[in-house]
Amino acid sequence: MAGAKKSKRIVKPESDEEYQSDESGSYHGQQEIQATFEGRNPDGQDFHGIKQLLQQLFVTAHVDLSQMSDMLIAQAGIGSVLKQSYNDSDDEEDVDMVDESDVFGITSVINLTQHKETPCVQHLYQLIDQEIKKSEDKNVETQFKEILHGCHKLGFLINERFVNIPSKISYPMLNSLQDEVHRMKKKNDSYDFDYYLMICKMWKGKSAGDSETVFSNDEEEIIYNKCDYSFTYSVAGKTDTGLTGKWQSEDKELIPYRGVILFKADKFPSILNQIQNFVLN
Amino acid sequence: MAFRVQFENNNEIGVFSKLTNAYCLVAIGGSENFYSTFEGDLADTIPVVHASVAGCRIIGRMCVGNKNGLLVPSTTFDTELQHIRNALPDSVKVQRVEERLSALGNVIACNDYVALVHPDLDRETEEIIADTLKVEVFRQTVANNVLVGSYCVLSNQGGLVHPNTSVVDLEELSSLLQVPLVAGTVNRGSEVVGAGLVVNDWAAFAGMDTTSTELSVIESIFKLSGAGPSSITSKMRASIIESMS
Repeated sequence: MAGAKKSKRIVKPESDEEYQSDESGSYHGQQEIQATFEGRNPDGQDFHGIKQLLQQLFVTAHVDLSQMSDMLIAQAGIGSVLKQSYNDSDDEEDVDMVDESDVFGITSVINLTQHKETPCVQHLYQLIDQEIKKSEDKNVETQFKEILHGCHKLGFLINERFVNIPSKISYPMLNSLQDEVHRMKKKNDSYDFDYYLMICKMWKGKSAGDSETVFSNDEEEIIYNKCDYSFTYSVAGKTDTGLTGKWQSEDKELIPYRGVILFKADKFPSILNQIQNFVLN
Repeated sequence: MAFRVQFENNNEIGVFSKLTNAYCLVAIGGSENFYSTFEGDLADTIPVVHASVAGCRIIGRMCVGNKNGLLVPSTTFDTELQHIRNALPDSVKVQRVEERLSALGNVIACNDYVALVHPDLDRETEEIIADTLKVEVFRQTVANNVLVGSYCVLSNQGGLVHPNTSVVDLEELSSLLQVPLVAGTVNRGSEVVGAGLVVNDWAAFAGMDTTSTELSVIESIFKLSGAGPSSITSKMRASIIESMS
């Protein structure tokens, strides 16, 4: 029903650069296009888009992503999906167009404690337990075990978007998520998280001496550096590409990894501040 | 019988496999679960061949075939072509096609008797299709979309097309193809039915997200409930007689 439209928040335009049309036909990097995105509450029709984004994170892992997408949609008042705005008017037709448009990103949190009986949360825990065993770092393993399987309130932070959408967008999305969680805490105590769990997409250099680590979402490097516990696992061979995002023939081949992070929930505001500073520069 | 499967957490079965009445191609690199579902149902009757095309796993969209033949794009490696030729029965002619629209599975939809092709397909390719696959070729669009292979799935018994296909188009296509058609979706509302589903005369495989309504539409239009090749029929007969005696 048109009357029950969710809140519409206009987010900063992505780039103020002019659209540069390339006559030569070959891509030479540094091309920018202007686009306006907005955040919307996740809705049923976003199911496929959300699932696609979760798939790029989990690749071949045995986690029921359909159920996870449904959970994200069902959490009323938590999380936003990133959609393209058609123009700034409140025209009925434009609003509908945005509704049906593709999902470019999602920023949300899953209340793991509340849903811990569901198969997809159990799959997620199994995945983490499985991968952490391979990392052979006993200390981190015990910490993760204690936090994941103990009686702490956990939220699984999801921060996914199409590759090459600038990290500028993450600040408004994460900021509104923080506000929503804050509001939800008052009604539902289980949202008063002790820890946030997050999985990041990263790339490491192929050769042994190469310590270069690139994060798919730049702001996640800040979270990774400020977190309490973390480990990484390789997803080499499970994704369909081994290059980083610059799409040039000179690109080095990097190996895709996933970084699993745990950080205390009270660190979230300071992490957000750092992200804000990062994106403003 | 219609089954729900997943290829490495992905519901697009029509991307990673190609199913006909004479053979089945599956992409390499999948989990054992995926193969065992296919092989369990099919291996008794037809060969299930693991293959790649041009080093890609999206073989369902790159190649097209029926019981008479298989067409692969020009980008296919010689080794892959050789492997496929060796693995398939001699009655199946494998042919490499020089075609600008190289994703043959997206631009051609066919069964053992007719083929629908992209309106811009080369004349030469059309002739190769008619020759190798032994079908009558029609240039058509489905729901105003030229990617007929993506939006239409055909078997000898019936066909499933893009949900927005108008009734008039449905009737026209149905009379052209001489099979009943229905407009529907697969994988919980996905319109790209060609990517989500593979089907032959006795089996269909759809993604795990496919709802039971979608699956029952598939079983009814492709006449799959209870149908099967002779070996399955005889097994069923054996259990029926057992229960009567």
